[in-house]
Amino acid sequence: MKAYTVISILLTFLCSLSAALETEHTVDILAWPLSAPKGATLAKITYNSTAATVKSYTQPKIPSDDDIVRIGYYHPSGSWSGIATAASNFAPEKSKILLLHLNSDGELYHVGFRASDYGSSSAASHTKDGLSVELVKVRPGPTPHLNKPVVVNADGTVPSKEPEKTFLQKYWYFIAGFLVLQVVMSSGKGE
Amino acid sequence: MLLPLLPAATLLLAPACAVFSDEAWNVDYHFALLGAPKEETSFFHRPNPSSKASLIYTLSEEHALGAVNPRDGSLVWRQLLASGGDSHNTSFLRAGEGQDVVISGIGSEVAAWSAADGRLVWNVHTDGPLEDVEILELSDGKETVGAKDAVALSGGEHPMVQRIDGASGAVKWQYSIDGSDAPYQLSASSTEVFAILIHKTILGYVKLRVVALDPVTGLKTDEYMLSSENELATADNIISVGANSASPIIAWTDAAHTTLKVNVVGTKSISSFSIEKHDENAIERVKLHAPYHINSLAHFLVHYETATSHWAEVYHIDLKNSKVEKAYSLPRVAGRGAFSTSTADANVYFTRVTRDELSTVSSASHGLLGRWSLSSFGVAGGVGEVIEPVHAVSEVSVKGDTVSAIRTTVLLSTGDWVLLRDGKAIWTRPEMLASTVAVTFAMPADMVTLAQQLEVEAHGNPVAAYIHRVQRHITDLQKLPSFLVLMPKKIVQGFLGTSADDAAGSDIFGFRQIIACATRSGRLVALDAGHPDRTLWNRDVTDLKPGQSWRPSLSSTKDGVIQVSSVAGTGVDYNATDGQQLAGDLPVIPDEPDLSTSRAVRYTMRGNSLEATYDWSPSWTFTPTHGERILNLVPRPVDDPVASIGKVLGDRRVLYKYLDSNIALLATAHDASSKANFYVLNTISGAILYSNTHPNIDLTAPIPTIMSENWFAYSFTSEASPDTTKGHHLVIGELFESLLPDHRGAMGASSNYSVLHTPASDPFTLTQTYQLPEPISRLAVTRTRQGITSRQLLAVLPASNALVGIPYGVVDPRRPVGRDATKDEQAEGLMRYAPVLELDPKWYLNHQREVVGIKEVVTAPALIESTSLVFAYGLDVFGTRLSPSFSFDVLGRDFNKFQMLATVAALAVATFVVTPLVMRKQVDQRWRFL
Repeated sequence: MKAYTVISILLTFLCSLSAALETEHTVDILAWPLSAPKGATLAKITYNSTAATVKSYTQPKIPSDDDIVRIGYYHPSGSWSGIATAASNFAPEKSKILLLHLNSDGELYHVGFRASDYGSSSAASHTKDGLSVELVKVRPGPTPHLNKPVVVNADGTVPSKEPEKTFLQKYWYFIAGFLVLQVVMSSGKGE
Repeated sequence: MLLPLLPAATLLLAPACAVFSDEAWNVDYHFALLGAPKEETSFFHRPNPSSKASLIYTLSEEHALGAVNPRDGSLVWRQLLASGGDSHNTSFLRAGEGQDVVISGIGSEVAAWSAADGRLVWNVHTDGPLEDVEILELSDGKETVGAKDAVALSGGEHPMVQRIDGASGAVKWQYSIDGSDAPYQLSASSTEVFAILIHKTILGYVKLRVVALDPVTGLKTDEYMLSSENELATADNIISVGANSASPIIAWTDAAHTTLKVNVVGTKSISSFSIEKHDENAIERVKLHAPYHINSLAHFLVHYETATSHWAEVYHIDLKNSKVEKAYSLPRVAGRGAFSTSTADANVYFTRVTRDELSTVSSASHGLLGRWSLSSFGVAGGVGEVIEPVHAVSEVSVKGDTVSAIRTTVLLSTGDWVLLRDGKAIWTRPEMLASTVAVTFAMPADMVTLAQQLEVEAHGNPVAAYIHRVQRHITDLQKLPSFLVLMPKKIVQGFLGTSADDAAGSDIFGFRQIIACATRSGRLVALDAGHPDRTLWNRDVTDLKPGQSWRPSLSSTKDGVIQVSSVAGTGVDYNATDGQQLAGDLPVIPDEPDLSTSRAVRYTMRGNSLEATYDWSPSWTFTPTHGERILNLVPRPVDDPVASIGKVLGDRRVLYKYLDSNIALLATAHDASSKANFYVLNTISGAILYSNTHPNIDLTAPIPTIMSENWFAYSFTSEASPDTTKGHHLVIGELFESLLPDHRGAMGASSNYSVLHTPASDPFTLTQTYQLPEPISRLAVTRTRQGITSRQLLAVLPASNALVGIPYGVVDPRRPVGRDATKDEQAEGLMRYAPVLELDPKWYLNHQREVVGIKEVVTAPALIESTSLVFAYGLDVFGTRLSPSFSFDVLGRDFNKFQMLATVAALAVATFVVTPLVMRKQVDQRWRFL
């Protein structure tokens, strides 16, 4: 019986491990200056539903007269999804964060980009040449906060309330204190 | 003794009554509309056979079935019929003589409605789409006294004729039509039922196949093909197939309208008449008007119409040998005309409505029985537009040789439905507003000119401004005589009237804005929000072909001007006050692109993705993942003033709102997993600021969304799941710069930044869900001039035909959950969260009226800060004005100036009278012994 449980737990663990390995995806993030005919690979990123790593990062070549760069990726269907950001954000001294927006199935549906002058300490392990990656999972929508239902007993009756404490049980320490005080006072008088 | 007390008591009572009679029926207005009535489905009918009073019944183009009281044009009842979503768009409405039901046919449903109150008596679904419905008027004496039966012809794969019991709706018999011929119409004489089918010949012409059925057994008695030779090219050339008359006829013309062919159904002989040309214009339309009663004389009228004129010919049918003869003709009259047929006993009368005349003739002879000149139809048209009748229905009562009373309802080219009694317009119903597709508010131009002139004076140099001002006053002097004439009236009104009366014509509060409505028929209708019962102007702005629809967008780019733009056209401007086209003001695209517009980011929905351009080259793109489709996108309104950048908490600290004018709420649906996703996007960079997903959504139910200020709202219907409850939910999300009070987040108070260069950190979003008792089909929000007034969320409730205004404070996502509000929160107006949002009866803007079929709600600010104007349209038209934070800057209607002045005067008099008394008393007091 025990061995069976151990085996089943082991199997479940292996299954989940393999599932976790299976959902590892790779995506090419492209940087596409407005004047360029097509985008060039900015970064290769592998991600699963919980973590992402930058496999490679290429500093984009941006023509000097371009001030907007598109960052995006191609869907498996071939359509493009991307955002726009300023070309100055790719300066080497800036720390850059790439955001991958994942939907509830762990699928990538949009990207985001953030750059800041001051170094950001977060996700330092994922950093490669100043680019780090963060996952943003879609939040489950809010649900109404329902009132607590009345729990009934097995026979359908509302459970009776706990019997209330008696006066003595509640306030015995006051009486005790009063008595102690009396004793102390009387002993003091006796002296 | 009691007598002097009585006036005092009434004075006390008057304000007490004012508490109950609020502004409910004064500031709001509602048109219960039906839509443009169709000629073949409109008639006068007596709902109660024993009484003489009749109602007007119609089944409109908007599929609304209703009864209108001919006395005042009020709606007695109405039912919205579902068309079944087919493009067929044929509908039928019949009423048997002396019956208390009307029978409608639409889509594949035949239904009987109680004529007096519109309750459903029975309904029957046919297999295929309905081609015709008739009422069987048998004169063989075998029928029961009760309800008359209906006959329905349905098409589809198995075309058939069914006889439906008039009392129960049970099918008495059905006859399946064999062959591949398309069913066209039904016709019933007193002894037989004829199904007319269209048979396509090899050469591409059509021929008419007539199947005669026994009305009692439903068995085929005869079948033949009419030899229409080659002149009948399409079924469109069939003018009419008469039903329910002593001798039903089929009439058709050739494509060029040169000959008219008439066949009496049941015979094979065809009478041919050549159509005379009356002027150089080709005949555009031929219509046939025949009585619908079995006992009426077998006479009919053929109505010819060209582009500039119309005339008619009356024909008689000899019942013995089924010969058709021309009896007389009615002269040609310029313009369009409408003919209607009415019967009294066996006699048939034809009533003709032209641009300026109403006349009635008997079918037997051409002598006029009555004639009335029409000075006007009492409706507003465009500038220089001649209003013409489109179709008419009449009820005539004849005494001797003259018409003693005649009531005619006419649908006019403006879209108004008018009742003429003895040539005078009694009421009009603005049925064109039922097909409104776009609406905008505009300030009247005269209000604007003063504001503009003051602007000129404020910004010019002092000398020029002074000269300008003197000139303005001189021009104003010209208005002095009229001002003096109005003076006494104004003074009296000033004393006796209440402050909210704006009968004087001035509109200092901005309540009387012009509402411009674009209708589906290509007209632009302007209403006055202060006096909505009067149409200001109504003009044709497009040249639409029949069946063509347009999707205009209306805007008021500057005050006093309404701009209409179609999908592919540049905008055309119209003067808001009188509808004149401002040809000189057509927007001209400059050769050199303007810097301010070219730098802007524009975005559009292309296919199933959002694409933005920056500097005319593509910028960000949002493409939903596979299987996900975009439901709708609502950006924050362009003109959305916000007075305060923060929310003041109870302890005087501030939560800063995330105010960005470039945010939009996008809703998408994933059909396979029935999920709905909601994204808040930055429309400059395309970044996602907030996103969430709701599983188990009923995607067939409406999902309305709204975005305003720093918050968004959406509503949906969810199915039961372990995570949430089944029902209608309203979600509110509010975006803050930081959730810490007095903290402005990463961006701090920097006044100037670009989302492209330094993307601000994402806003902090608070969301809350409320469960609603009924679904919401559309959301809108009130707008005020400076955004100081709190906002109200306007929600259309299709289930109860209502419009509610939900105060924002009630759905605030910061309502404390699971605990009572602290003192600070109470000071802020927050109360404990409750999962179910009960819709307070006080929130219903429509009060007890039923506002049916609302598709869109538009709002506009008034000139005073407290008030927002609301206009809802769809089928009905409803408008009101709202003060979400109550009317803090205007006195209410119950403020009585006269009463206040009288009180002041009385106090003054009392003081004057009492002063000497008090003086003497004080002096006396002094002299008293101390």
